[in-house]
Amino acid sequence: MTTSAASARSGAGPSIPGRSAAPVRRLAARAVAVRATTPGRLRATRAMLVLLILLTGGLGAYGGAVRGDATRDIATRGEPVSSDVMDAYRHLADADVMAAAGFLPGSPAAATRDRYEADIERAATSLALAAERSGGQPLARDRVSDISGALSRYTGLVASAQAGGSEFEEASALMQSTLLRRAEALQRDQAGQLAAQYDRAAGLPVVALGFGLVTLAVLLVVQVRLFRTTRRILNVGLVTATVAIGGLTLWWALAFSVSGDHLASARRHSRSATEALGQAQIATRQARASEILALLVVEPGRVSFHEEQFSARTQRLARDDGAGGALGAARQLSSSFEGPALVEAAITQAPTWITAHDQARQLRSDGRRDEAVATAVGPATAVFDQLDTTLAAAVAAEQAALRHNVDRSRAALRAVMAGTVLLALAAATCAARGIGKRMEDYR
Amino acid sequence: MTDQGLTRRSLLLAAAALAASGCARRGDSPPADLVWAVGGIDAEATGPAAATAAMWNDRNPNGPKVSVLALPSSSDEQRRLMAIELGAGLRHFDILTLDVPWTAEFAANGWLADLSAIRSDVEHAALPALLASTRWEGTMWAAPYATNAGFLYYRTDLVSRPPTTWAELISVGRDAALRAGIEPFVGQGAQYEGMVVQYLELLWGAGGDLFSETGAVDFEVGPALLALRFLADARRSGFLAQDFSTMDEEGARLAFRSGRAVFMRNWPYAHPAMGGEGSKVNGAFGIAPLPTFSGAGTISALGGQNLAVSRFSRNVAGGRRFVEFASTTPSVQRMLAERSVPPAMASTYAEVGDDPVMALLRRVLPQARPRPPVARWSAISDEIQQHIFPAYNGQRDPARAVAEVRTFLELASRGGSR
Repeated sequence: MTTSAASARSGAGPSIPGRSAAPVRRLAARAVAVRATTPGRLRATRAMLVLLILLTGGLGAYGGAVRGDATRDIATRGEPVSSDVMDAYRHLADADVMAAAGFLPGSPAAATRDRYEADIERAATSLALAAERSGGQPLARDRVSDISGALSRYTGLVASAQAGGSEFEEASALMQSTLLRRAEALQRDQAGQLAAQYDRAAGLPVVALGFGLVTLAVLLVVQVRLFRTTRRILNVGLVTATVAIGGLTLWWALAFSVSGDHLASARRHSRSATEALGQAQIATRQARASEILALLVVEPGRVSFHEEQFSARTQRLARDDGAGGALGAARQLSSSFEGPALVEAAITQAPTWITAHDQARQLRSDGRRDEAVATAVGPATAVFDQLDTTLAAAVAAEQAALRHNVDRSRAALRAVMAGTVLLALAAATCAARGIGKRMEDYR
Repeated sequence: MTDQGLTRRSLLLAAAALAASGCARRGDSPPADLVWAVGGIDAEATGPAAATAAMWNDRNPNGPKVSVLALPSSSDEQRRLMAIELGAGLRHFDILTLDVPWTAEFAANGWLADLSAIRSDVEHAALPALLASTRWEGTMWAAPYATNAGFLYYRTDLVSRPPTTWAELISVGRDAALRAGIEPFVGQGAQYEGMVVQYLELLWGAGGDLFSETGAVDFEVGPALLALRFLADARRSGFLAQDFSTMDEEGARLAFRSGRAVFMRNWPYAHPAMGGEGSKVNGAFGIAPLPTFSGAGTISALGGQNLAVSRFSRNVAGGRRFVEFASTTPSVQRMLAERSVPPAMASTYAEVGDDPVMALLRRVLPQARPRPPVARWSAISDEIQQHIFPAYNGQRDPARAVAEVRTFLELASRGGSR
């Protein structure tokens, strides 16, 4: 049945071109006829205007939706994952400080052990959260499983050292050269993805804006021509549509630039929190671990190795003059309300800590190891804690400002989305009515 | 007019004058001085950087004056520190000393000023093999200042002639070490870039590579495993010194100098110290090309330093002039050669004829191979370190380590990161 119908159709094949051309020709002829009469021209104009206005509205709504989605992605995935990763990174670095501090005679053993355990737990939780939120990307998954594997080896080494073994240096080496480096790689990958998300969210919807301007121009041309043919100055419908589309285009330009400004501020806070202050926190904690290890080991080669690490890490923190390194970067990038003052506080605290460290080092090289340890446990711990707390407060300030800016950016887009649909529908209706009024003149 | 009014007006005038002088600075007043960021021992007051800066300052009494700023000695830390500061747009450094594989990353991040203005002079002067590491997407971003290639150092009192294959190195080294009661081999085994370089030399020697010339992943399992198993076997059998896995260039240099090893893989910089006072191998050591698996030729990684100008510098033009001076002035490059720092300038090699280090470099450099000029080199290097290091130390299955590196290289190249 189907076959015979098909063959019947294909049997009629040769005559198809001629027959199919006929309706096209008829349509074209009708279009010419329609355009030849004024009501026909008006009908065509009305259809074109409605189409153009709806297309403009649709493109605007689409542009808003794309950017809205990208901004939502930043708010619900990009920034939270980034903050989880930094959180894990920071707590891993802190765990190593606490583990090492536990071996210093005279340090509060119970408190450091509690904080060590809390750090390990928090790092593991943050990593699991980051893995879950990032939706199983292969690279992130590999890195997280690398870190988890190494973390259990690390806690094992620390436990045997706590039970009287000598593995604390090996544990710290594992933390510094594997765990923290893996966390750093995870953070670097995450930063790359976040940058791409910000770029996606920040672009201006050029096509929609262009269409808005074209529609505006077409509306004006139509009104001028109508005025010439009908000699009627004001067509309320068309004027309203023009105002609506003009307002809409202006609103977009404003809303997208406001949203973009908030997004740019958010990006700055985000970079300040991770690339500057976060790096300062990591450098501080890594340097503190070196400081403690330099006191715990006895072999001169190992002492100077850890001293050199301390110096390299404090250089990364602030360089020798205190105004470079991660703190210098934070001074440049920090722009939240409380952030800059906290960064300045950290810039003055860092040299105090380094001075306390130098005193301890001098005491040790003078053979006064007990006094050196007392300095590292007492004054050096106090300034280290102070610096660490200041940096944490600065990160919190930047993160709060970041969330605020992302929310504002999303709010600006949400309003424009709702407004676009309403205004475009209203403009299309007004334009159709406006032309409809003119058409009534010919009935 | 009240006093307050006067003060306010004079303040305004002062502000206007300040603003005017700020504008004038660009044109009339002397351009800003230059800070040259240099890492580690190269930054010492008697080091090559200070000497280069002094030569420039002598010849340019009207400035800009160049001063050396010391960065940490670990190259990883140097890169991190520069990345943090440049990432925030800080202007503390004008001239940057870059390890050759960093140029692409720094250029891709927009941290460097382009060197098109001095390109033809630099290309004319430098050894041609060094130029690939100075370019990123067709533009020149850095100029070769010094190059580097790996040497085999050996004990002439224990070994009659330097081995040409890795297999020969192992058997000769083991016998000699046993006889002398020392260790067979020291080199760069710690978990850092130096270990990656040493692994790459073995990988290349086994016929493998990381990327092909078109940028596709070319990390074939066969050669990759051959190179890794060689290291792992050498480690397990005790051919590598006991502390090999924590050894960097300096660690190896000190060990060989104190007579602790038969062979050492190291850069030319280690040469002068071997002959100096306090050296246990004074008069009893030689240098040779690194062996290969087949015994034909030699393969070394190309090291060295490029100089670049920070895009955030207040005096980019002056920076370019200094970079050109340091990389294309014969007397500067000769000074490097005299300190056993391999010069980047081709003509210098003809001028320092009978120096054994330069003579060996002339043989080795034409066959030396650069690490791939990719923007994500430090991430790739980190990945190689994280997998190859535990594998050669017997803590990870070599086949798994190679597979993981390969997966990463594929993900990295798919991510458009080259």
